Amino acid sequence: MTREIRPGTDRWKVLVIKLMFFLFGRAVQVLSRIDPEIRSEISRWPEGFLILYRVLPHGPRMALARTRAGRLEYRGGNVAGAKADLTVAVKNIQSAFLVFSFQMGMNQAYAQNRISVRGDVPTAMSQMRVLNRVLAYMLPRRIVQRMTLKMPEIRPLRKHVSRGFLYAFGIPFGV
Amino acid sequence: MIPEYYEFENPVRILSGLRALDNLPFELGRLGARRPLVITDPGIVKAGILEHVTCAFRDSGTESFTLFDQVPPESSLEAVRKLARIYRQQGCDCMVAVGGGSVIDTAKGLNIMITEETDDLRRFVGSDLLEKPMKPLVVIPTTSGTGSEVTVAAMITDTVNHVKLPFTSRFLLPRLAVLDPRMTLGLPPAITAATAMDALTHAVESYLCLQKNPLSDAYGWAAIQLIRAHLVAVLQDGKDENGRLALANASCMAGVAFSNSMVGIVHALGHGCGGACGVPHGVAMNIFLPHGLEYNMGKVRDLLAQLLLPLAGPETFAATPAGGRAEKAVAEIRGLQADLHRITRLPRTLKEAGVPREKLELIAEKALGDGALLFNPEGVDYRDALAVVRNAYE
Repeated sequence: MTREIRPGTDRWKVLVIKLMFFLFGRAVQVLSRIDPEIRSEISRWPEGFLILYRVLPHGPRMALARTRAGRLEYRGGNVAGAKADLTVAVKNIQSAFLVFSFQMGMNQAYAQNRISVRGDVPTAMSQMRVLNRVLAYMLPRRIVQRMTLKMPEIRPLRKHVSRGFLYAFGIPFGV
Repeated sequence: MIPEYYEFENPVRILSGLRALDNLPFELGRLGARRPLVITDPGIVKAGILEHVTCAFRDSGTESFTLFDQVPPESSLEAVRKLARIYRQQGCDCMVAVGGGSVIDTAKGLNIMITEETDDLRRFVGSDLLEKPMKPLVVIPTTSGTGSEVTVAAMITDTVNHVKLPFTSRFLLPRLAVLDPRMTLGLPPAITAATAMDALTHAVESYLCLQKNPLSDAYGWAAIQLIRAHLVAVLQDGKDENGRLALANASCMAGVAFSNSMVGIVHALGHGCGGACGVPHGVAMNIFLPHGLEYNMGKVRDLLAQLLLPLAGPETFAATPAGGRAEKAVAEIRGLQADLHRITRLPRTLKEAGVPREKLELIAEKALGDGALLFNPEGVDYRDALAVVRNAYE
């Protein structure tokens, strides 16, 4: 006897990842304007540089572009892979869920070959440092320590004021 | 401890031994290759080493092969373009790289150019941008250090814009590596020492970095044992064929190990130092290795303690209290450094290597862009990198 098996889709995992992409995308956009270290990192990227984060093979995606003003702009998920200067791809939806549900740190995900990077390596390292700082602004210290090798240094007052602004205005309105 | 997940790959066929080269024509036949392009540098020809390759082709049915012997000391885009023209004109169907890191990287660059049918390598700079299986590449190393015969990376210099272009892809792996001690017998002591310290660094970092796994551990461990057992003896007697073969094997095994586990801060700083000041890679590895280990000590103390066994042997391991083995392992490496300095004058500090003090910041800055830091057990920011560089200065 043979029969067709349809593996189906974990809709809720896809939804969680889409939501996290949105939250991170908006947070990066805002923080690229107000955090001096993130601004300094981005200033070294070429103008128009496009980073695509995606889940293979057909999962959620999110793009960030470096603007002329030296900031990062959240471009949503409708960007063709071929246009990206740097692509950070999680190899499957399960691995992406582990990372975006904070069960696995980014370095651990790289070390376990769950993420592939296509493009310029120094810029890939720079965007990792940007993401680590964004995490430190967005999440409690305990989670950030699990997600990163080294806790980014941000003055507590700056962190808490920026976090309040992020969740009250930055992420909801993209300002 | 078994990682919860890991991947391991080494598809390179390895021929190792005295007169291993004799089997080269047979192996080329197995790969379906009839018109090899042999790539080397003027130093190899002058030293008479290429003669072993020519001899291997005698009475083999190979009527002729094309030789390019003008690879510069630093692989360059111009050399790759020139080679691509020759490869196409001569109707070659495989590449045989005879040399050290520069020759091997040039051959890998050529393979990208031929396979991707392009004249602009810059389109493929970075990680995983190559998607096609490549032409057969055979590597015959003439140094024992880089492990390039079994690695996925190549570095080509853009001499017009003064930048190094890194390429990483599993498709860059050669099909065959031939380890024949005759190819390294004439290597001067200073280069033997520097390249062996490069191999030792590959092996040690592979055992400590985040992507380590039981298979890479086995390769790294064995490489350390071979280097410890044979390096000083080979420096005292360069014609020691058995020792030379052991070092070639150690370099190859360390290459397999770090290709699968990656390396960390020592390599990141070494690449930064090479880029900023032109310090040869093996020399930089020798300088930074103990400092990098001390930086990571807090995260990998237990693993470093284990490495005392292959680094120093069972007597020293047993005689050292468990709590002091990690420090003793670093001390063993410093002891080896001192031996190499005594025998070959291999620099132990950045100052001895002629690095100007005002370049230290630039070295740290460049190191931060190195992908190796992703796999270092301890996080590294600019201040950390600079502190390690300053410690290594004098």
